[in-house]
Amino acid sequence: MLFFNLPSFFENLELNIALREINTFHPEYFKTQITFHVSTGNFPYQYWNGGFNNNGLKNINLSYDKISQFQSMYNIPIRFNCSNIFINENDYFDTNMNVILNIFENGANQIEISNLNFYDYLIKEYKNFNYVFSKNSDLIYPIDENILNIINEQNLFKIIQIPEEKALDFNFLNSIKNKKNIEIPIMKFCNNNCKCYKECQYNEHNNQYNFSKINFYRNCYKNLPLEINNSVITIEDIIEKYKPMGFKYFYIPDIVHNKKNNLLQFYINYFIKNEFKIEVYKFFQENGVI
Amino acid sequence: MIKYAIPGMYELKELNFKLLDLKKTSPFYFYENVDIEICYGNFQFCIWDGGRIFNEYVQTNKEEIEQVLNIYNNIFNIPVRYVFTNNSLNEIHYKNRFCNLIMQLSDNKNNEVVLSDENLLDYLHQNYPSFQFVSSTTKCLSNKQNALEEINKEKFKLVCLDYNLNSNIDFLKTLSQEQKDKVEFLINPICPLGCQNRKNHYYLNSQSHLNYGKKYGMESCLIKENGLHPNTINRSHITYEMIKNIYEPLGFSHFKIEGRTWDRLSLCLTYCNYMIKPEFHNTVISLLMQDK
Repeated sequence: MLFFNLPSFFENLELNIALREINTFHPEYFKTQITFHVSTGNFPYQYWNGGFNNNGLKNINLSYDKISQFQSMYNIPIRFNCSNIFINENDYFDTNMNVILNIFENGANQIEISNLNFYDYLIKEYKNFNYVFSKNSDLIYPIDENILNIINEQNLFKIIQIPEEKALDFNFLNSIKNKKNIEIPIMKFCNNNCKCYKECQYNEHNNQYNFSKINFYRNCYKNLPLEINNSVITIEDIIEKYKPMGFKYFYIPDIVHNKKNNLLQFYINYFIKNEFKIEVYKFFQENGVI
Repeated sequence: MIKYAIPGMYELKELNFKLLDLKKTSPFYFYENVDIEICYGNFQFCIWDGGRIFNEYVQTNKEEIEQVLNIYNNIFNIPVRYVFTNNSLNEIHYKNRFCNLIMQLSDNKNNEVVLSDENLLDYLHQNYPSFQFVSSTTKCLSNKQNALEEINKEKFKLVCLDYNLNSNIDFLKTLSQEQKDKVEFLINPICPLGCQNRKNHYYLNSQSHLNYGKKYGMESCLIKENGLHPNTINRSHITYEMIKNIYEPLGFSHFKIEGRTWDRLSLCLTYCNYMIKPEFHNTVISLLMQDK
C-alpha cells in the first residue's frame, strides 16, 4: 500500500473529495493500491504557511463557522502547513492560527513544521496533534543523512519529509535507517536543474509571511507542464524503486495551485489506469468538479 | 464647517471612492458647509477591531492595503482612521503581525486610530508616534463627568462622545471652544438610546474578532428584537438640519456617520441626507449606485 496526501485542502476541496471517493469505491481504476491518508495545506492568508503562497486568493468569505466544517467534509486527517521559515517567537501567539489549531486538535490531525524551536512551543500547547518535519527545514539548515537519522531516532515526528532535491539521490535514500516514516515529495515546483529554486522558495515564504500576494514560483516557472517536469517521480518509479526500499509515504506538492483542471489532469494521468480515464472524467463531471 | 467621518473604509470603499470623487469633481451637489474629513474602518481579520462584526469576511493582502491607502491618502487627500476598539486585548495581541503591518503601511503622519484600550494606546503611541488617536464611543462614557475627563486628556485628538449625551444641550453648552473642538458626535447610531446591553455587546464583538469571526448570540439586542432597519431614526439621531441649526452654531464641527456593516444603498441614502442638496438626491444616488 502506498500513502499519498491530497494537496491544498482548502483550494481543492471538491476535487480532493471526489478523488478520494473514486479511490474508495473504485480502487481498480488506480495503477496500484493507494490510500489518501491526509489532506495538506493551510487556510488562506495564514502566514505560518510554508507552502504555496495563498495570499492572493480572492472572494474568500471564510470565518470560524466555515472553518469548523472542513473536518467533517474531508473525513480524513488534515495537515496544517506551519513550516514558514520566517516564523519566530513573536509569531507563536498568532490569534487566528491558534484559533484554527484549537478547532482542529482532535488527535488525528497533523502540523508540519520546519523550525524545532517552534515545535517546542506547539507540542506544549497542542499535544493532540501529530507532527511532521517539513522538507522546508532544508532552507534553514541543510538536511543530510546524519541529521535526518538523528531527528528520526528522537521519535518526535510521525512523518519526516525529505527535501525535494534528495528525492532522486539514491545514495542519500539508502543511508536512511528508518524508512517507514519518511515522506518523499514526488516532484519539485520546478525542473531539477532550476538554478533559482531555493531563492524562489525563500521569497515565497517571505511573501506569505508579509501578507504579500506576489507568487514567486508562478512568475518563475510559468506553470511548467507536468509532462516536461523532469523532477516527477512516477507511480511506476515508486513501484519499481522506492517501495522495495521500504518507502511508503509520498507527497504531492501544490504545484498546480488554484488551477483545478491542472490538478485534475495530474490526478488522472498520475494515478489512473488508461482504460479507466474516461470513467474518471465522467465521475468528476457528474460531481460538478469539472 | 461641518466635517464628516464616513464609514466603510475597506468594505464600502467603492462607494466612498465615488463619493469622494463626486465631492472633488461636482461640489455643487453638496451643501456648501460640509466636508469629508476622514474615512474610518478596518481591514478585515484585524484582531484589534472591536466595533462591528460582519456577515462576510474577506481578507486582504499587503498590495491591496497599499492601494486602498494610496487612493484615500494621495488621490483624495484624506486620512483613514482605523477602528481598533477591541476591548479584550492583552499583551500577546499587541504584537499581531497583520495589525502591525497595517500600521507600518499607514505610518505616513496622515492617519488616525480610534480605540478604547489604554494599553493598546500606549503600545501604539510608543511604536507609531506619528498617528493621532481618538477615544472611542465604545467606552460608553455616558456620565457627563467621565466624558469631560476624557475630552480633557491630551493624548486624544478627538473624543467620540457617547451618543446618550448627544441631545444634552445643557452639558454641551458648558464646554469651552477648545473642548468643543475635540468632540465628535456619532450622529446616526443604530443602538437605541440608553441601551443597557451595549457594553456587553461590544465585548462580544471583541471576542468575535479574537475568534476568527465566530458568531456570538446577541441576546437582548433591542434592534434585532424590534427588527429595526439601520436607517430607522431614533432619539439620539442628529439630522443635518439639527447640525446646521444647533450644533454648528454652538461651535461643534466633527460628526461621525455610522454604517460600517450596512449595505451600499442604506449608506448612500444616509450620505444624501447629510451632505447632498435635496434637489440632487436622485442624481447622486444614481451615480453612487452605478457599478463600474
